[in-house]
Amino acid sequence: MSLFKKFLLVGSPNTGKTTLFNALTGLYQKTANYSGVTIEKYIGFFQHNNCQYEIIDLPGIYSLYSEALEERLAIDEILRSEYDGLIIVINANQLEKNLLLVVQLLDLKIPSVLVLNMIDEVQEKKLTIDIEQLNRLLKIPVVATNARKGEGLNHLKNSLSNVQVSDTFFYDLNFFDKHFSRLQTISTYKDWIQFYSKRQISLSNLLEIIEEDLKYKHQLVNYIVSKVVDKRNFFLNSYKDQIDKYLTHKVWGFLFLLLTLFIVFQLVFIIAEYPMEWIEWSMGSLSNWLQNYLPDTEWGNLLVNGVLPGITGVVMFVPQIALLFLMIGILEESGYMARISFLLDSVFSRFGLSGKSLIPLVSGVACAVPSILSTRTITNYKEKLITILVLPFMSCSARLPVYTLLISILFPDERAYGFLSVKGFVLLALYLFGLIMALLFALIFDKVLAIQKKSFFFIELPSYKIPYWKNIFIQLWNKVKIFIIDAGKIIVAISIILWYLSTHTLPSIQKNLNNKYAFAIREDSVKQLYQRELLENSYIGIVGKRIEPLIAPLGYDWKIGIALITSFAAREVFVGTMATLYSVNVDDDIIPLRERIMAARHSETNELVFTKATSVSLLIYYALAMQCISTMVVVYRELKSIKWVIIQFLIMTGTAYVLAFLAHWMLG
Amino acid sequence: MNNFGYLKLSNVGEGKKVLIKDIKDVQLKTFFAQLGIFVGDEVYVSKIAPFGSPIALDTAGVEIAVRKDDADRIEVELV
Repeated sequence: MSLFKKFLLVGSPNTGKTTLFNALTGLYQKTANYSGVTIEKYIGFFQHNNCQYEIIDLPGIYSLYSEALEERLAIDEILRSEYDGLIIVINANQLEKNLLLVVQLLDLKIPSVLVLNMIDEVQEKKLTIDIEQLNRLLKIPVVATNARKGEGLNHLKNSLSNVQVSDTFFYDLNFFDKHFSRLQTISTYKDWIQFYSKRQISLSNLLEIIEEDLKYKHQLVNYIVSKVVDKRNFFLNSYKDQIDKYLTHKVWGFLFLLLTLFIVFQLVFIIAEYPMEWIEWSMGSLSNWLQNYLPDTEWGNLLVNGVLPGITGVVMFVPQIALLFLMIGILEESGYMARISFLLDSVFSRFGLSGKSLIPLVSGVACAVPSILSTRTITNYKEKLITILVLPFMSCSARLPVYTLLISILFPDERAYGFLSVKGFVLLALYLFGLIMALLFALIFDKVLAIQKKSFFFIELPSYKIPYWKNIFIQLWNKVKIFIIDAGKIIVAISIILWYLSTHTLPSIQKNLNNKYAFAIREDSVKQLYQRELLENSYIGIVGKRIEPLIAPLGYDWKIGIALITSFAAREVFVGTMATLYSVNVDDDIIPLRERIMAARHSETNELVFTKATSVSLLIYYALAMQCISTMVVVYRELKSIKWVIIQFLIMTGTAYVLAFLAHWMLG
Repeated sequence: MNNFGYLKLSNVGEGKKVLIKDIKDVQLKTFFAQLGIFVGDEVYVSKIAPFGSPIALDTAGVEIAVRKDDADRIEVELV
């Protein structure tokens, strides 16, 4: 007969809890969300001695009194008691600090087993922990493990069928009489923690009680520690990483940080290009092949021009996501990420951001999609929210083709300025503009958002470690999987819709077009004209013409209007759409397109469309407006809220509209 | 330095070992208790970030950095 058992994996951050989780369950993992929030719940499985085990890796907690959102989720899950027991993980090197949480958990009277992880580091220091004595004092099974090497795992698995409720009390037995004599409902420690979790009365009334409880436990922990280790030696040589003298130094520290950022940049900008080009090439070949072998029907057309490009668009993100998470995994696992927070906190906290916002913001210069996914590592909800909201202001690489086209319209005779490239200056200005807007809005959100900040702030600086490849790989695999499954399907669906709306029109118009071009649709030059007329008259074309009064104050005509809409697939589509609308082939060079665009005139007034004012206004619009469906989908995926997607869209596009209008008005 | 001759934690330099004598704010005191740091504990000021904040404390094998504003309210004595 096979059994089914469910355990919660509980412990403080930096105890190797997730390493243990990955070591126990490997790739037999799935993710879910805690109800109501987007913090991911990792669920893993393994089999042992005819029993199927389900393990939930809870967010790390420091104490049952913690106020931080993700810690509260873990505590609520513990209090719900819908499981068979707790696997409590501690870092053997941090015995004293971690035991304070352990005795709080044991007071809940839940069947538990204690895992002394990272035991190898203790052994390396030639120190010992008296495990049998610890077992006698805590009255639960105690297992020593080195999760990285898989040592002790079998022992742990065996002990799961033997979990125990500790019959020792780690609170003052007069505790409840003293404080809650009239509250009949509170008679156990679990009642008290439950009461605290759902408390109606203000926290300040409870502070004294909390401190008294923790102090009492602290004394017991001190006693326990003195019984199981030689205290004089155990904490004497607690690590003081010598390397931190350099890595958090006011000069060397920042230089090393710059080097790190440079590597991140190289990875997401340059290295990721190779697999992306390869994906583009193979999808292109597949598309050509299908085009030649499929009958020329509406369904074939849908597959080749609608579905395939949509899927390509999603798969194209994967190299950047994988490389970014590889880098972030290394930074987190090594312990360096905490040093980045330490170095930057005094600056970033002024903008309501975390030091951990740095990597997402920087990689936002390549693409907002992987960067928004990477905000997962920011544990504070408010800081994560602000980072996500302002991140798309960073000028991403999809904006580059648009910038390039517009700058070449603004400065057609660039070479006249000598060796200093005007394009370079304008681009730099646009990147800075994006950064400044991101910081400005971060500051505004920080002031406006009525989300309670964690009352106090601290960063734990874990000792440096060699990154554990299995943790990085599993994390990376989970992210890519979630992106493709959750976000990918929506992105594909929306890009198919966008494709349909830009290539289809009302039946009556379609009939006219068919009649008009029936004679020579196969000839390239005629085909170009047909495509142009189809786009102009497509559903999107119709909308583009309709919104002309709305965008006229910015200096745009209906052709730009159409391009603004098709850009939602990706900002760079602007260039392709303009090329179609002006019947120019842009495969080799954008100069012919530039010439055509610069000569374009408003149909009624016969004035030039692309004046300086219009070009500058369009540059500003593209720098600021939310023009990317993929980003919006990922923001939704991360925040699980349509509200924030709409707010972000309105703020970005609204700011873009106002500033583009002002620019056009001042220059016009 | 106050009447009792105690220093503020934020004024102690890097590399000093100190004894926590008092935490002025009960909320901060409870917060520290949750991290396992109590009045009477010995901590080592292991490093201070470039702009004077945060300040990292080493206590029984755990290194924790707190902001200067909070460190201002912690009174210590040099060991």
